Amino acid sequence: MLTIADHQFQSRLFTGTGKFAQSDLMLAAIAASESQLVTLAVKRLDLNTGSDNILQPLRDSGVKLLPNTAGARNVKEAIFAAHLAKEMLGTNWVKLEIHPDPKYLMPDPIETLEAARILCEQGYVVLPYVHADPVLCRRLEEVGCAAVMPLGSPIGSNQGLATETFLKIIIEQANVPVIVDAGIGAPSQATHAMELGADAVLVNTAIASSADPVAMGHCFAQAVNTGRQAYLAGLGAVSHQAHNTSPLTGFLNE
Amino acid sequence: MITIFINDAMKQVEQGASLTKVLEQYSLENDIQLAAIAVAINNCVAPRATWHTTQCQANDKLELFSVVAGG
Repeated sequence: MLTIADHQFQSRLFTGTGKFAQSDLMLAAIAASESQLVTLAVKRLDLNTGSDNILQPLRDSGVKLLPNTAGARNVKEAIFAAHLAKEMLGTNWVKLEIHPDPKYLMPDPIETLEAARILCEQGYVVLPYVHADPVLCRRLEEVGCAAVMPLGSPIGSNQGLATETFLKIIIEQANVPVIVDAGIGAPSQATHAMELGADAVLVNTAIASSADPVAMGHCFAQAVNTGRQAYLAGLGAVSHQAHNTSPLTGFLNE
Repeated sequence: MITIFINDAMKQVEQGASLTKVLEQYSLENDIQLAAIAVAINNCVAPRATWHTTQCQANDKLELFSVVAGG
């Protein structure tokens, strides 16, 4: 059972709600993924496009809602987004993300740390999206973050765990849950993250952009579960040399 | 009447109108569910509990926000 702040999750797969072709498809894919925590974004109301009408069906499904601060470019904007989200959803949980650069969406570590400090002081349960920086993750833990969310590779890139070396260090050092976020493009990569000891993974694009998001949601549920079970079972040691698994000379009488 | 702005659009409202009254009118006109929005006045979040005691002032800039799909 995964515990973040005071909340327990049976599923270690968190999902995003973006990029799905239709709301119904998103809801069905989330149900298939068995995810119990989904992310949402805050946006200025656009009367021309209308609202997504996704909130009520998500609430009805019983998943916990995690609003993000996507679009924020600095501390002030991120705190503003967190306050708006709290008003809208009645939750003090926030996925803190500050990425001013639209090309690579790299999270700004300096703004993120300061915003995390302030939001933690204000009583928010802060889950910061950051680069896989072990030093920054420790600092975020020190200011009171409930978890850390280091990236595997750039958001939506499906490149997998490009940061594996550093994720291992973060997982080894962390005293709060580590959620590998961003870049996980295939169920095998989610399994790998869980085998490394990640507490959870957050997946959006890989499910939403699949030709069959519902089937892919189910695949990720299995993949995360398998990776977790493998981690708990304990992986065998990696060796440069071969070590025989069968006796090599037993029947030759040499 | 005074002029205020809602998401950049000019709007005439009664002098001394409460935020609740303005928002209820706006939601009717635009088919918006007030339960699912947040409001900022002049870049400060206006908590729902203060809507009925907040009086709109001339040239106030109201911004309405909602949740959308996101990762």
